[in-house]
Amino acid sequence: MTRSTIHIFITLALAAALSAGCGADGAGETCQPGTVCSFDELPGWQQAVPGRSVRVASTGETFWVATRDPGSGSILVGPAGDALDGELKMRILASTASEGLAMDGSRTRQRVAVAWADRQGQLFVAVGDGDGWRRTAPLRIRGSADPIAATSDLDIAIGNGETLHVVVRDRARDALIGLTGIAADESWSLRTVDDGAPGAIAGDCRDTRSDLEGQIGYNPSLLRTSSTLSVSYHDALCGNLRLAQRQAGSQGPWTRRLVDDGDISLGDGFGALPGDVGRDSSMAQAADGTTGIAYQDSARGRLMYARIESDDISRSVVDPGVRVGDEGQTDKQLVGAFPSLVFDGESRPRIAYFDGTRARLKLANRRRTGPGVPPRTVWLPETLSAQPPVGFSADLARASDGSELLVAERLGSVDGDTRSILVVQDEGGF
Amino acid sequence: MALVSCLFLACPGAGCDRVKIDDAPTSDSARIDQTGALRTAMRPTSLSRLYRWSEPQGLPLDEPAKTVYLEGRDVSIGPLETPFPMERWTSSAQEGRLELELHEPQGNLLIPIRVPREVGVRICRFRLSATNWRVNARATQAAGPTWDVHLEEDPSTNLDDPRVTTVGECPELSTGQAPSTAVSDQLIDYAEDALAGGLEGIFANSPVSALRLPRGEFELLSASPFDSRRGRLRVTGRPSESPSPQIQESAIRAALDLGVEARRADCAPLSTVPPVGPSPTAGFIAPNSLDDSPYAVGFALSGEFITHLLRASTLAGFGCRGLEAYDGLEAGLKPEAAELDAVGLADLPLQGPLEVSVSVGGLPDLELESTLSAVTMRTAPLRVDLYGRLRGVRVRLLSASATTEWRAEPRISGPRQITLSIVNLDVTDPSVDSPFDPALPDSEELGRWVRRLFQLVLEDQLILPAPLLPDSPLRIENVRVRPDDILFLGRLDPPPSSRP
Repeated sequence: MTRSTIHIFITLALAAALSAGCGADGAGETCQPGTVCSFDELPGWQQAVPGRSVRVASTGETFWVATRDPGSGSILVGPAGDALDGELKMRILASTASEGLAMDGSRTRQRVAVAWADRQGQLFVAVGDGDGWRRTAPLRIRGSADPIAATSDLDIAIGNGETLHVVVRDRARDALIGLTGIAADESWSLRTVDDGAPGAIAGDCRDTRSDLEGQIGYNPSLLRTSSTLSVSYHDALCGNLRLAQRQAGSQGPWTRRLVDDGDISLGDGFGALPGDVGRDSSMAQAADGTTGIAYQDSARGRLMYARIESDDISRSVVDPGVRVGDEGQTDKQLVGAFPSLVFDGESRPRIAYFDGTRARLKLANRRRTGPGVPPRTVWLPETLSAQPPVGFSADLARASDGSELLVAERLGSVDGDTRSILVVQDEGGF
Repeated sequence: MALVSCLFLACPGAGCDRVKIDDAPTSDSARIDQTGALRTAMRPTSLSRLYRWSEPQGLPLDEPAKTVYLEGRDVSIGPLETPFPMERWTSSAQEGRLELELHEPQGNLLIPIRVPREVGVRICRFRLSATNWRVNARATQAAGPTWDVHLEEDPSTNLDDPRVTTVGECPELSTGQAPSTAVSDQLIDYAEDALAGGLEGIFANSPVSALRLPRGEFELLSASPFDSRRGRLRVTGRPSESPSPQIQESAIRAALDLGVEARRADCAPLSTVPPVGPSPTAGFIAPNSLDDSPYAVGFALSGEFITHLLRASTLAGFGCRGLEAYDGLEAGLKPEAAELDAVGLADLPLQGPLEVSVSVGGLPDLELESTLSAVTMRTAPLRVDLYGRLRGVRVRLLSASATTEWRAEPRISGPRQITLSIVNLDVTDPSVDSPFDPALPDSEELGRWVRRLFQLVLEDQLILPAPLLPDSPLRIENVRVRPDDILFLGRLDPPPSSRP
């Protein structure tokens, strides 16, 4: 395949529909919560599709793209089958969405699920399959009158049967909460994933500080495997990346552990500086069962990868963010934001991410460099061809046939204004 | 942190807070780049204040216990370990000799005596009261390249109208509150020995050492979270033989030989620091420079060594700054202040202030301009990267680079810190690069914009710390640029009160 980067276009009618609000409101009013709705396909237009908060997921051999229009707050969703030909058939699921948008696809069930929060902090889920889309009313907590005060820090995973899992940082509870339910019912069960209470993780900065609570659960990445539900998330007070896990089929408690405290040792008795890791993270599982997390080390401007074993966590630097300058000096590059992790057919990790210094999309592959047990491997970062500034909200998905699709936002100049533009890139551009 | 090697771009914000100090005498193998690079003169009358600052609780007493035969038995007097407050400390100097006298008009000293008994020991306490407690000593400069002084003779002590009374009961040595004459005489002798020993102990810390000049070896780490910025600078200071220390009536003078070794940081240009020769003797503080001034201490750092140090600091990575959480540059720049509209980037959806990253592409040159009391520095090329937050992450909006030459005037900005305020900044070959497809103005306007940006970014970031250790009592109050050196003039901080 030789295709590379495409800016997606739809017709001006979309802009008209969005500005009039009829698409979004119409969808919300004509579709009763929990019922299957058509969410009429928008006709083709000639305007660039916005790429704000863009997500991609695969359902077998089909890629789905969800994005948000920053002007109206509408959630657009559609199959990406024709995206590389410059067209995308989008539907509007909702209006007045906030910044956060999450998406997951199920290969076995040919379903795609989307979660978002509106500007009032209400949380919504929609599930699409061959029959259409089913959207919930604002989610409620089963057996509780307390509303959910959702932030834009959320993620969704498709479970067994009709089950869906959502994790979201709840503003009122100042905690990361986990919700489980089905799209046909807006009443979901709740388990607190992490409220940042001291003593949960031995040795971390909250361990002995009873005054440190909350400010946890930022940018969660949720992974549902056959046996386990896992979520990686950021602890803003400690600057840490945490991992919480529980058995997938149970309603048991979440167990938490530290993936990386990010602390920076200066060596030679000079002590350490506090770190800041995991503001963005992405978790995935390979066919051989390997679970990994790609995350950014913000304090050091680099991309990291953590391999999760049953008891151990091994970390490696994927891209240190350095570049040799004209005068022979090494210039610092801030890389690693918006990481997105997939595993290829040989269970090797591939990570798409953003280079903030050059405003470019990058992709890192792990390759074997020699024999041995375990084999010697090296990370090979490369810059993708997409024209900068591009790479915001980068998201990479892999289909069952091995094809991959990378989506991201480009900030482009349209008629003198800076606009959000959806960019799609396939293997040809990798 | 004020230290000799944190210079100019070396120390913006808190970038110099990782310093390892080894205050032991310099090893023979330590590198020395310039003899007499730092020269100091101190007014002799200030010596007493300096010592008082070093001993805030008073005259340090460290007199061990002494066994004597009293009233038919061996008893143990002392020990004394509590400082003795002295109201007045005075000092003076003559050619080759300095004198220090301490005076307390009305004082008393509590002295214990341990008296053995059939079972155990009784600790008796006696109060020695007197008027006009005086202790006096004369010292001369030790020979060779050292700042040490040695006493001409044992310090002399004098107590007027000494009286000893018993505190509590001590039937073995006194009747009621009146000890025997023999006991009183022994206690007075013991107290005088303690006072003399205390003054001798003060002189063990030489006058120049008490100033806390950078004598010894100091390591500075450019403590960045970014590996490429990590370098190391080792500064060595040792008492100079040329010129050797001098005690004169007008001033106590000493000089330091200084050396600096840099371990290159990866972010630094691929350069080597050229050697530097002995400092010109003409730059030594003029013999009478302190006589007509209100300052207690003056010291001059050679311009050649400042340049040398500046280059070494650059090589050690101190010139690569910004984007670090604790860095002064992190404080941010308002987008309006950067005038992004001039380069067509005004409508970017930025969140919060801009951040700045600075790097230098070559070793800088420095020139002292005594007639203007300014320094001129040239850097080729200097690059400033402007970062803004877009979609919650830091993104480089543009890189501006140019060869720069700026003139700056020193300004006191802290007790031991000088800020170089930019009075003139010229840029040549300005360029701007951005992934955001900027609409750049013509070259003249671009040069004006780059010049303004550099001035905005560098203002108040050029720090020239005084060559003093952080715990120095000296407060810099004046700085002068001279043809061959920069002269710092200051007073000693008021000594902490030794009385409640």
